[in-house]
Amino acid sequence: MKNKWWIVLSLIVSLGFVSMGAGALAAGGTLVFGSAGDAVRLDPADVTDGESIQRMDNMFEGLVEYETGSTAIRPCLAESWDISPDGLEFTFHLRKGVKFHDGTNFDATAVVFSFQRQYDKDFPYHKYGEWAYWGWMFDYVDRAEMVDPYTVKVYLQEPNASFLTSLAMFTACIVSPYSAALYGADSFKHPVGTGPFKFVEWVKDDHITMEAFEDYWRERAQLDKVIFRVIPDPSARLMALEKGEVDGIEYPDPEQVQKIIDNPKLKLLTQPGMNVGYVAMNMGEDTPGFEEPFGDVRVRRAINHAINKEEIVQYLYQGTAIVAKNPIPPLLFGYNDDIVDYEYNPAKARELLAEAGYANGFKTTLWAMPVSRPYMFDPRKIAEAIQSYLADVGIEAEIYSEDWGTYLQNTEAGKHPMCLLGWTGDNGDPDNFIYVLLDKDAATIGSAGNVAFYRSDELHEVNIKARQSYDFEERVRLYREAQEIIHRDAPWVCLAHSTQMLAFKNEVEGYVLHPTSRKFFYPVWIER
Amino acid sequence: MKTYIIKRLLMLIPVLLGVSVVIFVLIRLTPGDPARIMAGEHADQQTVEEIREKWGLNKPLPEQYFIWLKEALQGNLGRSITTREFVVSEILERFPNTLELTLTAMIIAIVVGVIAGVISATKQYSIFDYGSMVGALFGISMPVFWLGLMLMFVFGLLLDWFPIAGRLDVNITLKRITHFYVIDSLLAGNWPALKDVLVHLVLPSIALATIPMAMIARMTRSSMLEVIRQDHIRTQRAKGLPERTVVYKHALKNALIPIVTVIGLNFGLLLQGAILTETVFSWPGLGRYAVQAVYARDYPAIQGSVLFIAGTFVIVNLITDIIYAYVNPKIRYR
Repeated sequence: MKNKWWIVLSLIVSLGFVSMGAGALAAGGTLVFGSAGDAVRLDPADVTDGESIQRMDNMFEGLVEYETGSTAIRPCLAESWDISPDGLEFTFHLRKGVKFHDGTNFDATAVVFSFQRQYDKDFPYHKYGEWAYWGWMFDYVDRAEMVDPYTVKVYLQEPNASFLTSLAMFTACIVSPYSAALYGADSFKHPVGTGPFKFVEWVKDDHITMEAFEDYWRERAQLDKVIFRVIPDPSARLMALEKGEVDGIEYPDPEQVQKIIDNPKLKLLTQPGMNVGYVAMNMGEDTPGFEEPFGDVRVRRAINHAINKEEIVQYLYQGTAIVAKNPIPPLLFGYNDDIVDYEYNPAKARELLAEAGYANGFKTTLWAMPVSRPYMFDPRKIAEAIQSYLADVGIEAEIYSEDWGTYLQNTEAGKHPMCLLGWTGDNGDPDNFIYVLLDKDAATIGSAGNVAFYRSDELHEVNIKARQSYDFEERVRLYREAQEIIHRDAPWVCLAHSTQMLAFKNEVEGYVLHPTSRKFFYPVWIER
Repeated sequence: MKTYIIKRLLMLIPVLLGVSVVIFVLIRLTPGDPARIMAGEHADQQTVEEIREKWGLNKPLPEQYFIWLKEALQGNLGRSITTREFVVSEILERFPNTLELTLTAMIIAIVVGVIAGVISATKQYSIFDYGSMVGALFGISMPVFWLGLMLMFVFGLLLDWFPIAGRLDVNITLKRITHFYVIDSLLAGNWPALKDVLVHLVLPSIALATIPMAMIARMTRSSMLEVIRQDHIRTQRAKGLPERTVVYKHALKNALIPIVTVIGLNFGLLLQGAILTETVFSWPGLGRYAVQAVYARDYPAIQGSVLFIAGTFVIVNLITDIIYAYVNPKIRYR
């Protein structure tokens, strides 16, 4: 804890700078954060974009939450829970004495309300949102029921070990039923949760202001106010930081990184992100894009040997990524560091191709995303690099691209022989990578998450076992095994895990990056 | 004159109808599926279908259009697919922002452009003339985006004279009534806010003013050069009128017609330039809104903002035409 006197003293000094028209100051001033875009909506269960989510991380809470800087789970609005022996019933014992920002009490009704409006089509509040994530993360949840005012039971249709991890996601945040009823269809612009900060105002495309919630059940936040200010242009965003108009920014351009490091007034926080960028090779014989060579594991391994990932990471990610050898990033539990990656070796690649009967190479098409994604800043250049590596071993790849929405549709329908794609994890569970991206269940033409259409029964068995086991050690062992199977069958070339970066003024203390890129300002203070 | 204005205003209806049909068809021909984008990268097919159904995106095109038109005639442009907000209120919240910026830029462009043009014409082939015309050439050819960042770097960061982002310091509270911040701060008698609003306006409006300023300067110069050699001006001079009166009262007035035309046309250019300026200077205006809507394939929002911009353009043209009549009584409208 900081010395209180120092805070008071620094406040008196900084009072003149900080607040014009702000109310009484108690602890730690205002933090202005420069975001790349505005929030879309402020209902935690009805958003899919990072900008909306990072605002809500500071106003809402769920039954459980992530530990600081990790994806491990700890109690939050639920103090504890029991799991039935068959793994199908979760009983949550709720925290007492928690208040919503509107002054109402948090209890079991609120929990059931927040969930039921998402899964129950006949529930009167269902019509006010699309609830896109519920179907994705919680489709195995049957229902939630109140046992008594401070006990809630959630019934699953099948055991799922990632349930608790998923509960820490924004989708499962608890909203105030009173306010939801009061605002109805407009709830999305009147966010009312139990979190450390309370919504104040939203000037569209300009800023969102929130202030410390005085009745917060933990200690009051050190900051008085957090303001998310929208600055879409990356150069302008950095200038605003250098000048001091904002105290922190997100998404610095890779070219700006050195400039930030060289500036003694700024600091750069980095962490390997919870994501993966990859090349998928289409193995699905029944898909429209299937080409003969990719059915042969020797060809897929040859391509793995042909691509120089170190060079791609160094020059095209400009060092803001690490080379990937597994489909899951190293910060996830169960990451198998014993796997030896296919080394860059064009000679070996040519040998393998010859073995497979393609001594003279072959022609194919490499699909490249049209837009920059968090896991791949410049897909076009990466595709060109891959094209030239493949040319070195005799494979002639043409690059194809189309608009982003269509690209997703068509790759899900398997119209590509090879494609670039990537993934940002939702909840921090390996299941959220390995099952959704590589299991045979996810290889349905038209809605495939598994765009390699890699259908291994062996992997499927491991995945299902891991998903239904509540024994942590066993899950670690199973996921390590899964990565061995994937490495052996080589449906992908795992390219890189890109780094998440935030830049702050030196005075901003206590911010910890979270692997999911969510932004929690509760523990932050400003040193003056 | 009155009937003329009414007639012109009535013409707005077919123009806007035409625009609405064209934009309706065009955005639906562009690839990209709003339901897919709304559902997010991780959504399953069923969710996408549900969204499509809920927003009526699975209905045949003509039916979609007529549903939209019926609502639009009652002043309802629908709810934005991405933000769920009424498009009309989203536009009304942002349009004043754009207008405030555009009008400030226009005033700067007219004042500086006309004065520079007049001086260049009266002092033809002087250093000032060469200087301002070379400057004008730069002004026309400079990308707004780059100029904006340069202004920001020099006057915002290095010299620290002006702020970098937004319309108003986020720590200043201002009651937003008209959404014209200059007017709102005046109404509230909030002087610190007014000062802050004005300093926020400087850099973006200069960036936005550059191209029209240059065009107005060049047009003024050439128009003035033509007028200044005419007989009636010679007569004025011979009468012994002071040079200042001759130039600014008699010559400029006669030279105004093409200048007014250029100004009117430039207003459209300004609305275009606003898109870039708004992005660079984090200005929460209509241009940025429209661009975001296009990226998200947010059909109601795109239709609404394009309609609004088209309407503004028509009205600006009308105002230009009316000004003609005042500038030159020979032009009469029936």
